[in-house]
Amino acid sequence: MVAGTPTLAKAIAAALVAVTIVYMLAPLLVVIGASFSTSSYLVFPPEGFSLKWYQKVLDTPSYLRAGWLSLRIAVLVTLITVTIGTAAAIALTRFRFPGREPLQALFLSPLILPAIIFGIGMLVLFSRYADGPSLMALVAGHVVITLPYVVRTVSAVLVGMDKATEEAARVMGANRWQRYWYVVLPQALPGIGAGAFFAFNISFDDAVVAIFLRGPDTETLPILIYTQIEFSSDPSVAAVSTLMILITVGMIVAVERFLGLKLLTDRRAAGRG
Amino acid sequence: MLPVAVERLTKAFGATVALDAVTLAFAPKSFTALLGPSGCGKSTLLRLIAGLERPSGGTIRIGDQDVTALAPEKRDVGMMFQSYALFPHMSVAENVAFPLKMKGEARGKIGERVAEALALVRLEALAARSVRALSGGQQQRVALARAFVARPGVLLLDEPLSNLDARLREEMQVELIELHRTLELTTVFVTHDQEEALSIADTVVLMRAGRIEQTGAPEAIYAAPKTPFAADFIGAANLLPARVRRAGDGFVAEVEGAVVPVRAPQDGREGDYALVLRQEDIRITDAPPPGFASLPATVRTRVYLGAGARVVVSVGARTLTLLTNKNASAASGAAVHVAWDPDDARLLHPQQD
Ligand SMILES: Nc1ncnc2c1ncn2[C@@H]1O[C@H](COP(=O)(O)OP(=O)(O)O)[C@@H](O)[C@H]1O
Ligand SMILES: [Mg+2]
Repeated sequence: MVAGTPTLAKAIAAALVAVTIVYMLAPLLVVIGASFSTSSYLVFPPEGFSLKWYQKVLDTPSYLRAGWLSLRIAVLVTLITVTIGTAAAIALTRFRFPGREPLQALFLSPLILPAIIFGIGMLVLFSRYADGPSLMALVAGHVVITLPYVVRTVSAVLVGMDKATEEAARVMGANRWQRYWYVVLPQALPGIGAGAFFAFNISFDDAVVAIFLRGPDTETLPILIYTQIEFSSDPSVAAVSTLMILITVGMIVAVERFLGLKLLTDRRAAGRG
Repeated sequence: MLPVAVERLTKAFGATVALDAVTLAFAPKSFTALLGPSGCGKSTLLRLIAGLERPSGGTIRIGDQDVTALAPEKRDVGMMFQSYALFPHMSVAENVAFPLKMKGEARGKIGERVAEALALVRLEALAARSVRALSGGQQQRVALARAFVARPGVLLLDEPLSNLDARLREEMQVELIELHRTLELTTVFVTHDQEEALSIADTVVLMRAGRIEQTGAPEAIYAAPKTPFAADFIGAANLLPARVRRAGDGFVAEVEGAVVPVRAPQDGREGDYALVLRQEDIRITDAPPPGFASLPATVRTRVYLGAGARVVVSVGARTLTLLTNKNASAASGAAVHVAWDPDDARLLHPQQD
C-alpha cells in the first residue's frame, strides 16, 4: 500500500493533466474544426472540408475593418502600456517615496477588479468629457486593464536583478540615463517582452471593455464576432476566430523563441551568482 | 595612480556605526589591504571612497580634489565588486569596454584598450563569449579587467578572491601582484584573510569594529602587533593573561599559577597584561634551554601538517596552539613542558571586546 501510493498519486496527477488539456483544447478544436465545414451553420464535427468561409471573411469589409481596428488598437495599447508600465515598474521598485505602497496597489488593482467596472467608468467618462467612444477611448480603456500585467512582469525582473550592476555602471561613469539605457532596460527585456505579449493579447481579444465603448466606428473584432454569433451562426465566425487563434499562437512561439529561452538562461545565471 | 586620503570619515546606518572617524592615507601606487573580521566596515570604507555611500561625517580626497560630495560617476575610480556585478546581457569584451564607452573614448582606442586588458588577465580567447557562459574564475578576471581598463586614479577591490577555491586563489594572488607591478595603480583591496593580506599588499590596514586597529607593512604588523586583537588576528597568536611584576633588575609574570621570566613591558609598569606567544615560537621540550620560560602542559591533540604538526596543549585552564617540526613526538595525553625564549614573547595591554 505504502509503495503503491506514489504510483496512484502519479496516475491521478496524469489524469488531471490530461483532463485539463482536453478541457482547454476542446473548444479550440471545435472552433477550428467548424471553420473548415462545408455546411452553412456552425456544426461539430465538421461536415466535409472547404476554405470558403475563409474566403468569405476576406470578402467581408466589416470583418476586415474590425480586424484592422483591433490590430491598430492592440499595437498602440502595447506600445503605450509597455512604456508607462516599465517606467512605473522602475519607479515602484527603485525609488522610495511617500505613497509608494498605495500606488503599487493602484497599479495592480485592474488585475483584481472586474474589467466591467472599468468599461462602465470609461463609458461614463468619455460620454461626459469627450465625444463618446472613439479609438482613443478604447486604447485608453485597454491601457488601464493591461497596465498591471506589464508592471508585474517588469517589476519581477527588476526585483530579481543584481543591484550591484547599477552601482558598477555608476562607478564606471554612467549617468542616470545611461544606467537605465545600457544596464537596467536590457536586463528587464524579458519582463518587458512578456508584458508586451500580455498587453497585446488582452487588448486584441477584449470584449468586456470594448462592448461598453462600442460605436459605429469602434467595433473591434471580438465585438463583431460576438454580434455575428448572436444574429447568424455562419461558420465564417469560426474562420475569423481561427485566424485570431493563429495570431496568438504565432506570438507565443515568437516569445518562446526570443524571450523564453533568454528568461531561462537568465535564471540559470542568477542561480549561480 | 593618485593618492587617496580620508579624514575622520564616519558612516552610520541608523544606530550602527559602520565606520568611526577613520583617518587614513593611501600613497600613490601603493597596494593596501583592508583587513578585518566580517562586519568591521571594510566594504563601507571602500564604498565611501567610490561614492556609493554618503558619509555621515569627514572628508575624502582623491588626488588633490576633495570628492566628498562628488557623484561616483564623476570620481576617477575603478571598482571590483565581491559579486563581480558583471552585466549579464553583454559579452566579455562589451563588459570590459563599458567604462571606456562611458568616458566617450574613440572606438579604435576602446578596441585597443580592451584587447590589452583582456591579454593582461589572459582572456583574449573569450572576448566574444557571453559572461554567463564563463566559470567563476573567468568571471572574476572579467570583473578585474573591467575595473582597471580605464586606468583609474584608484582601483578598489572588494574581496576579489573570496569566491574562488584555494588553488585558483593562490594563482590569482600572484597575478594581482604582477598586475599591480605592471599598472602601478593605487590599489586598495578588502580581505578578511590575513594570509592573503600579508602576502600581496605592501601596506596592511587592520580594522576592528569601524576603527583602525593598526597600520603598517606586513612584516612590521606581523612582528610587532600593538594590541592583543592584532596579534590574534594577524598571527593567530596565543594570548595568556599575565600578572607582571618586578623581580630583581628584571620582570617576571605569573601565568597560570607559574612564574616565568619576561622582558620589561614597554612602559616599564607592573600590572595585568596579555602575554602574546606565536605558534611557531613555542616548543615542546623536557629540558628547556637556560633563560627560557617554561610551563607544564598536557598534550591534547596533534594535527599532522606534512612539514610539521600543529599541537594543541592545555596549560592550566588555557589552551595553547603551537607548531612543531615533524620529528617532535607528542602523544596525546602526554605530560610535557612548553618553553619559549622571552625575547619572542610580547606583553600587550589587555583590550575590551
Ligand atoms: N546598507 C546598510 N544598511 C545597514 N547596515 C549596514 C549597511 N551596510 C553595512 N551595514 C553594517 O555596517 C557594518 C559594516 O559593514 P561592512 O562595511 O559591509 O563590513 P565588512 O565589509 O567589513 O564585512 C556592519 O555591521 C553592517 O551590518
Ligand atoms: Mg564586505
